[in-house]
Amino acid sequence: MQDFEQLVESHQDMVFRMLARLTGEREGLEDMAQETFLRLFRALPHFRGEAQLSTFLYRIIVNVVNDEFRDRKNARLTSPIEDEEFRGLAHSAAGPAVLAERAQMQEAVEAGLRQLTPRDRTILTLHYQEGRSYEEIAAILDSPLGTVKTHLYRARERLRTMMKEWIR
Amino acid sequence: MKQNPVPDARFEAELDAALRLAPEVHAPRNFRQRLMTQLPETPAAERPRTWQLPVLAALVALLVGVLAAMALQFGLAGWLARPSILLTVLMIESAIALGWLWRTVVSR
Repeated sequence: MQDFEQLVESHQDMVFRMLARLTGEREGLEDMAQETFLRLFRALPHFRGEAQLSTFLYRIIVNVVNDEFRDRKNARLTSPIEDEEFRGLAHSAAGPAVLAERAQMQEAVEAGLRQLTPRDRTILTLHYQEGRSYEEIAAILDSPLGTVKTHLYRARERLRTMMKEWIR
Repeated sequence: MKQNPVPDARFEAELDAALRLAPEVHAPRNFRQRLMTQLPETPAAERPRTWQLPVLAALVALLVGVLAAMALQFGLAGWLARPSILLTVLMIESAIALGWLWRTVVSR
């Protein structure tokens, strides 16, 4: 039990970070984080160390988020309000000088990520934010390596196209 | 028309940097303590479901057997004896096998 407490301590920020990016939300993440660790706790007796614990945990996070999406019956997790925000951002950011500001870019990327499919958002987050290799992402998502590479490339292209349109 | 276009290389670098930058989110204070109170004493090991796979395999085998018997009844053997049909079936099976091999072995 003490080991598990240490495990929570060392991974909790990563779990919140991942949940924040995958859901595009900042509030109400605690329930999902709690569910993630409860699933990990229940699954630990079956964890045989074939994969890294972090890989195992990432997989649980992805499943928790997918379940949350399913529960909300909204695969894109975008609400009309978010779409409005997105358009507002696109127009207000017409000045490239403003867009070039890192904070603005960050905000724009967050908004762009929300427009992608959950799978694309997951792959981009795992690769860029979490620095996972293609092989690790393939293991986390239980997908072939080639598929992961293709999805990653296409997801980034989609995001890039979206962002390019904003600065037109 | 673009107004003051951002150079592509710079744009790409900024996009990568923004993707790499994690949101400023941290676990709330006392999250760990609250979580620990929710946990059962020991992780409940799920009951092994060892019976499910053999039962499923038996049902699938039965289904395949019934379908094969029906197909033979309706003249599948004669139909398969035609070289063009046999060749087509073999090619389809080979493609499926190669696809499976690629997915499960080569691309992992």
